[in-house]
Amino acid sequence: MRMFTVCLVSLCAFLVLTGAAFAQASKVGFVNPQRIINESKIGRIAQEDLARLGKEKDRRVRDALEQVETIKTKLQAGTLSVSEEQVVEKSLRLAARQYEMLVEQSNTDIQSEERQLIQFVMRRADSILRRIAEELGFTMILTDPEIIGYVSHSMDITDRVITELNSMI
Amino acid sequence: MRKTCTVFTTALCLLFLAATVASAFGEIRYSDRPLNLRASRSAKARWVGSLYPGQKVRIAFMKDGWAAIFEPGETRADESAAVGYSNAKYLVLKPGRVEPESWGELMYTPRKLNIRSGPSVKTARQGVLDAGERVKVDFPDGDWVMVFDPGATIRSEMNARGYCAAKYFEPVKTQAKAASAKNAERAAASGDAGNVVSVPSGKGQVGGSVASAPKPVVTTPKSAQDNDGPLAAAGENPGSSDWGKVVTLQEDINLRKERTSTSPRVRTLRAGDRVRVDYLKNGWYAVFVEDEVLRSENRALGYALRSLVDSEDQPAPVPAPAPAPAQSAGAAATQDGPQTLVIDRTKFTDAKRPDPTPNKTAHGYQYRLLEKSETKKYGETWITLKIFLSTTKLPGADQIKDFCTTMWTDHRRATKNLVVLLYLPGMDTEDLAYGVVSFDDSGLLELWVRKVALFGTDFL
Repeated sequence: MRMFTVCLVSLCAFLVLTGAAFAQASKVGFVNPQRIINESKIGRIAQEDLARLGKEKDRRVRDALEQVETIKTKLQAGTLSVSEEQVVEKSLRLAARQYEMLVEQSNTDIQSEERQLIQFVMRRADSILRRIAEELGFTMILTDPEIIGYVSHSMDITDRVITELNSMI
Repeated sequence: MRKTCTVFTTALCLLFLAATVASAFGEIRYSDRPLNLRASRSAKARWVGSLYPGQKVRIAFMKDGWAAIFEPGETRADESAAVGYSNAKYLVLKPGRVEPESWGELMYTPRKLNIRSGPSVKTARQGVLDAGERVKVDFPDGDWVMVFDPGATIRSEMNARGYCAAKYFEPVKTQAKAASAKNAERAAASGDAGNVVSVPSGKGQVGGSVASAPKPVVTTPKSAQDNDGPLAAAGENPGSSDWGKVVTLQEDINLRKERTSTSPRVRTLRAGDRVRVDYLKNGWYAVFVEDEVLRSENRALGYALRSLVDSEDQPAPVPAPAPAPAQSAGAAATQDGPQTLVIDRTKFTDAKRPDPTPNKTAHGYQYRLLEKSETKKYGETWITLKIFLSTTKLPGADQIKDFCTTMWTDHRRATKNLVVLLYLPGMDTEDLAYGVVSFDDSGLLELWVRKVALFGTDFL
C-alpha cells in the first residue's frame, strides 16, 4: 500500500512537471494587425495616404462624369442636325464607357493600394514582433483574430508592438 | 574639243569644291551632359528637345555663346536647318561619358498621309508620306504625333518633318509580318510555296522567296530546334522566335545596366550559357534569356559588348577587373589572372543599402533615373520611371509636379502612359515609392504621395 502511494505521488509529480514543460515549449502569443493599422502612428499615416488616393481617384471620376453630363446636355438641347446627333451619341457612348472603366479601375487600384500599405506597415512591425517573441519566449504568434476564441491579455502583444512602432517615428 | 574639255574639268572642280564646302560647315561636337535644346539663343526660349550625354552633333552659327545644332550629317549650311540651339560650353570636342538614349518609334503608314505644320487638319499641309513609308514618331500631342526621318538622331521638335494623325501609324514589326504574309501568299499562288517555309536541314536558312521582306518569318521545325550540335559549335541558333539570335557564350561575361562599361554590373554570365541577343547599338547588345518570346528591350537582362558575345572568331579579351570586395574563403581566387567574384546577396538582405548617387539635374534637383520599364495595365502600355531624388527638404506637390512633368516631357511616347515613381534619401528603392505621378500622352492624370513610405527616413 505504501509502495502504491509512492508510485502515485511520483506519477502525479511527473505529470505536473511534463505539463509545465510542455506549456513552456508551446507558448503562443497574439497580435492584432487591424489594431496596428488603426492605432499606430504609421498605420494612421497609411490610412491618410489611402484617403488621399481615394480623393485623387474621386476627382478623376468626377471629371469623367462631368464630361458625360456635358455631352448629354448637348444632346438633349435638341439643336443638332441628325448627322451631328449621331456623332454626339457616339461620343456619349464612348465617354460613358470610359467613365465606367475609370470607376472600376479606381476601385481595383484602391483595393490593391490598401493591400500594399498594410503589407508595408506589417513588414515594419515584423522585426519588432520577432524581437518580442524571442524575448518573451513565444514559439508561435497568431495574427488572425477570426480564429481566436479567447486570448489572455498577457499573451496579446499588440499594445507593445504599437508602442515600439510609435517610438520609431 | 580642248576648250570643251577645259570647261568640263573646271565645272567638275567647282562642283567638287562646292560639295566639300557644303559638307564641311561648322564642326562636330559632343554633349558632355544631358542637354536641352531651345528654339532660340536663350535659356528662357521654348524647349524643343534634348541631347543625351556624348551625343554627336554638328554646331555652327555661334553667337553670344550659343550655337545652332545640326544633325551630324547635315550638309545645308543654313540656320533654318538647325534642330535647336544650345549653350556651346556644354559641347566638347571629344566625347566623355556616353549614355545613349533611344527615342521615337519606327512606324509606317499603310496609306498615303498628309504631313501638317501643326496638330490639326486645319493647319497647312507641308508634305506627304507615301504608303508604307517608314518614319520615326515622337512628341505626341493629343491625337497627333511629330514625324521624323528614320535616320534622325537628334530628338528635337525642330528636327521633325511635321505632324501626322497618330491613328494612321502602325509599328514596323506588323509591316514586316504583313509583307512576309503577302510574299507567302504570292509564292503560294505561283506554286513556289516550298521556298517560304524552309529550314528542314536545321541550319537556319531563310527561304529564298521571303528574303526580300524586311524581316522574314522563319518557321523552324521542332527537330531543327533540338539539333544544336552544329549550331552550338558555330555559336548561333535561329531559335524558336523570329528575332535576335541565340548564342552560346565562349567565356564569362558581365552584363551592364546600360550600354557603357562604366555602368553598374547587373549579372555575370558563364561560358556555355545560352542567351538571346538583339538591339545592337553602339557596339553593345541587349541580352535576353534564351526562351524570351517578347522582343522588348525592357525585358533585357542587361547589356554586353558585342566583341565579348561574338568572340568565337576573336582572341579572348580580358574581362575588366571588378572592384575587389571582401573575399570569402569559398570565393577566393585559386588561379592566376583576373577572376569574377559572385557575391551572395541574400546575406545582405536585411542591410540598408546606401542611397544611389545622383547624376543629373532638373528643376534644381539632383536625381538619378534608377530604372525605366514598360508594362501593361488594364490593356494600356505604361512606361515606369523609377527616380531617386537627392534632396534634404521634402518636396511640395508643386515641385513634384514640375519635376515629374519634365521627366514626362523627356520620356513620353505616343499612345503610351507614363508613371514617375519618386524615391527620397533613406528610402528603400525596391519598396513603395514616395511620389506617384501618372500621365497619359496628353498630360497629368494623377499626383499622389505616400507619406508612409518615408518611415525610417529623416523626413518623417
